[in-house]
Amino acid sequence: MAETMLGSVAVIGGGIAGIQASLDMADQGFLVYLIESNPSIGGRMVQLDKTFPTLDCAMCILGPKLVDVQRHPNIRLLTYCDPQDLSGSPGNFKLKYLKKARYVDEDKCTGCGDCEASCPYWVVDEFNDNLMRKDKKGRDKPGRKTVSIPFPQAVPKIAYIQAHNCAYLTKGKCGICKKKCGPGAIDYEQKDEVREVNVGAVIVATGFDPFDAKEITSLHFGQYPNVVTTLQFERFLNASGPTGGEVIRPFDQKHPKKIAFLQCVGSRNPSLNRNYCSAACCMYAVKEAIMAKEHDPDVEAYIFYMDIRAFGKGFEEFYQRAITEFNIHFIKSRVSEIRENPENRNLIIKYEDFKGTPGISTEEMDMVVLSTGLDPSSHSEYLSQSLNLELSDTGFVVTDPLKPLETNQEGVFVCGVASSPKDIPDTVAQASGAAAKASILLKDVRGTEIEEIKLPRAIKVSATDEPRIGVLVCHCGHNIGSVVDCAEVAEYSKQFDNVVYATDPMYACAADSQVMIKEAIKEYNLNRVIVASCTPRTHEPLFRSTLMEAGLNEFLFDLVNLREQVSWVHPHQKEEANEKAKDLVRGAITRACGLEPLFKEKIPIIQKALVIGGGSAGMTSALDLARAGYPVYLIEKEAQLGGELLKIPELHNGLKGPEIVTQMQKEIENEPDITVFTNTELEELSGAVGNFKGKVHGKEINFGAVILATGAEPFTPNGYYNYGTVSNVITQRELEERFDEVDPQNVVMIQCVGSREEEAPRTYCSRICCTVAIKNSIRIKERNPNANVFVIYKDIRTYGDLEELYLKSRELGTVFIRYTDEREPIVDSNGTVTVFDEMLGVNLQVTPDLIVLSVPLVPKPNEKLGQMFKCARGADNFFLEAHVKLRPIDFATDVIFLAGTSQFPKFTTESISQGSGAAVRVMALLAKGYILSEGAIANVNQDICRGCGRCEQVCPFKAIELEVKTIKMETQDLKMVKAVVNEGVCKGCGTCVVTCPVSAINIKHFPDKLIESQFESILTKPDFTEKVEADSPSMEAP
Amino acid sequence: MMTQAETSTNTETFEPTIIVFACNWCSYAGADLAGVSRLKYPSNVRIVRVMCSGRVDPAFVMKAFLKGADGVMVAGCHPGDCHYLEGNLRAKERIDKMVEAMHILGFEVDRFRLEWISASEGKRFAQIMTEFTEQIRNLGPLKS
Repeated sequence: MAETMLGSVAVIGGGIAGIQASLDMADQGFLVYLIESNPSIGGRMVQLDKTFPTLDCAMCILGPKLVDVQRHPNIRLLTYCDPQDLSGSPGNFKLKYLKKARYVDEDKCTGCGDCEASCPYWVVDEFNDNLMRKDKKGRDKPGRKTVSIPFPQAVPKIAYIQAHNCAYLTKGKCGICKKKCGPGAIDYEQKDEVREVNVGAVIVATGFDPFDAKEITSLHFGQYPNVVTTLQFERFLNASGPTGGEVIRPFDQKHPKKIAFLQCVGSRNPSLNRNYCSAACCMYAVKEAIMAKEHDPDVEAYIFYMDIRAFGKGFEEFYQRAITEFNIHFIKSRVSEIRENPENRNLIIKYEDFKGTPGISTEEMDMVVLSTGLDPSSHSEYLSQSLNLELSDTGFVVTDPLKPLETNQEGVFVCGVASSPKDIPDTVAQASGAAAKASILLKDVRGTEIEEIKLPRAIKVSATDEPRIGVLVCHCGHNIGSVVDCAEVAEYSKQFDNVVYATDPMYACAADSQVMIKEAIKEYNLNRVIVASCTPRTHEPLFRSTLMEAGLNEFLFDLVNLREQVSWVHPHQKEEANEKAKDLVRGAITRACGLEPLFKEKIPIIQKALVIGGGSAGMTSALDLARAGYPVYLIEKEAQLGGELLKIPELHNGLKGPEIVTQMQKEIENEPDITVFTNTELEELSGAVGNFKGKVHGKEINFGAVILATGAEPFTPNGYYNYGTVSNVITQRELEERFDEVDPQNVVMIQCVGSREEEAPRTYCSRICCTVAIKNSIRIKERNPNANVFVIYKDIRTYGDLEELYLKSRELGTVFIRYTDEREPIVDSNGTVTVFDEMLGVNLQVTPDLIVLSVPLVPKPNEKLGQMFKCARGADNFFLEAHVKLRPIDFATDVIFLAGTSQFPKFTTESISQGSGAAVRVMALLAKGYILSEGAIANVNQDICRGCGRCEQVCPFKAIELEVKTIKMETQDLKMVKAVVNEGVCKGCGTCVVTCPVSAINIKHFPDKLIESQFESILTKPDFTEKVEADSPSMEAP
Repeated sequence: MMTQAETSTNTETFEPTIIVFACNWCSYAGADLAGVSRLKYPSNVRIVRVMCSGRVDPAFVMKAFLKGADGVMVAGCHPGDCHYLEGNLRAKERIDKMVEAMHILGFEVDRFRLEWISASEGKRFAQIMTEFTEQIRNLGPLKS
């Protein structure tokens, strides 16, 4: 450990893992250097069109996170940088990195895109996975300019030049972009530079690269034009992709009607040194097949697979929808070769269909999509060389099953696909978990590297003050100015009574304009500012900061979007565009008159946490929180901590459940900050969010945040396969308990007993049962190689590294027999098993010593807790997280989190990652000591409210509660029910406002009167003839 | 006040005014992407930003018509995408009722639309705006 510890961290990799880890560290007060090799953060997720299983638009859910990173005061973005060398010791590292030349000055570039428009050279578009665009004559054209912004929503939105393709940089000719760049940001003299940062810890989140399908020559990727990868297909589907969201065959631009998806390209393939399953491909192929059908209902989509691995939350249901609702054809077969029909460039696939007709079948496809696996990122090489990390022979960072977030280097943590293939929710949970580990290391120096921003004294503005509005109409170089007459619009705005200052700067977002705005606020006593420029989604934070620096409340600002909504979309209608610009500015001026200062309330919270459930997830959460310096109450219903782990003598990785528990228990005993309550439940709960009061064992406890880690237990399969009536029909858990007592010669294991059912609640795949069965098959075979083990399964779902176990079991001689829902195995009252073998096409019969049923995990009783904390449960009865993709360990309420199998079945390693992840979410809250209200939140007029409770019913965040209020009257006290908004919980969506039958609720910043005044003003063109004559001389030109 | 619609007499040159209430997280972002992608659509559209489509009171729609809008649209996230979990579903419930009432009252319901437009659907945004403008043009000015 270093003598001088630093309260900063380097996060390597700016994909979703790096973004989440950065936000979790920065929110606690650590300084974060987010280092990304590409010119923009966002990683692979920004290239996706939709995400499974909810078909959320990827950009819609990731975009806000990108902006959060950019505007976070504690995050320094180091894009287009590669780490080079790490030295020092935990707590004080020196990280050298190469800052690659962008040839664009990051401080000057405004992201207007003029350089891109002027550049005459087209180059390959990596963002669109090298897909070509077609020009009007149908010729292939590379997708982007040599100087460009990587993609429309890039963060930072700064251009870069691909030096090796630039005519000026290679031959000294051209130089057009420099001439066209208004702010003078193009800098051909920039050089690569080696720089360094000093950090206390490092989080590695380098993610993956798709497998290069060219390595499998028989698939002819790169040779047959109509063979594409799933990432390319994703770009075809995407509305902002090279075809504008049209699925076409690259060869002839025709809409493909028969599309084949080939699974496991670069996965589950020992000859390519890729034994592992890539864990995400099955679901993204199902998603893309569904999307292809959504785009064109005439498409016939075929998925050629080995096993459909739909093992995550909502995945199995999604897969079933693909079959029943979208009629996707699933064919269990590995296609080894594709041939091209030279006449029409169709693709001929030969395969053996295990389900249908015996022998080889052929099928001609219009297009073939290769489901490429997840390779460790090409940067993993420097992980081993520069960071001295131990890598597996497949190139992933090696971790311990009980320390999944730690590497062989102390102080260097890892998350996401860098350590093994995984999907987005698992990646996000791990990213939070890695942040927890770094936070523990640096707990004593938290807050030492960041600077508190000092703001000047606030200018008092009250609702009754006469509005004094300043309007800036931005030219954005030519972007707005070439279509809209900005000077005229500025002049126009001056005609309104309350506009006392108006001007038309070249770039309103440039640094000099911020100075100008601050001076104008002072000189003209402005109490409202309007900027008419571009989208508030990217630029509102900047201008709001400027206002605050001038002492003006940030809510006294409004942005008019002239660029995205006027000049860029109506370039040839200058007159109409000008009119529209005036209408929009007028609407904003009217709205601005009614703006009021708002303050984000700091609502103090109790800096103690409660963890409910003492299994591996809950114990990890409690330990991490205590180690980071926060007091924790840990409640366990049973007499002893440990949960289900206590009952699992041996895990699939050889570890012993009870031994893990003993170790963790010892660690918990050594943490004075953890108070353990066993044999009990939370008896009562009261208080508000962040200030909870509970009762345990009759004792009152106070806490500010909660982690629900109540776990899951095996389903009891009464009535399934004569369980309960035939004595040798047992469950996997029962086999494990009796393992030393039994020595069976013949064992039949039946998978998916009570899971993957048609009716809720157990429609899900329980994720772990395949691995558990395979583990037990290996244990039986290793003890007695002559024993016969038959596993009767639907799909073997050993994802990621677990695939190795499947290989091992097969090598040991376990026989795997597939069954389908149409022909389920039968166990009769004599204990004879009959199963139809698809491959042989015959019924097999065996009377084994043991019939072992693989049953799903079902949540432990959680209904009462769910009601207490108002946490929703899904149709599967597991707790329902705030967002299945990006918020896997959060509830919709900000101070309540979940971890482990209370969310969904998972392995101990995964529960531990989630336990750490949930811990860091709590740390961020407790570190601050308060929750900040949103400012623009709901507000109930208590005089009008009649307590009907409709708002309470519709509030998605449970931010409204009915309370009984006592109103003092002369003769007697009157008790009345009123709605009360919890300011720390309200997000300001406003759905309650519309629901209220008596208009007692409004949303600050977006009250009815402001929205109405805005559109009414847009619709009402005023007549200025009188005013111009009377008032105009008093107006000053800026 | 004379609305634009009332002053216009010839339907061939009639240019309607259209108010679009767009939610901040999806549809407004979709409009942004249409802009960034330089996709052209008629200039008749005026966007009013709201945080969620669930914030749009059916009364806003009626008032917009009263104040001279010839067409009104509410645009929100696709079901399941809502930044506020289910605001868009609430919007749909209310707006369906409103449309029903409009229908009963004999109002031209074709002057109103509820659309789901995501942040990546810039092209769709432009297409819908083009279509809707054309639709309102064909309907002619709103007679009040």
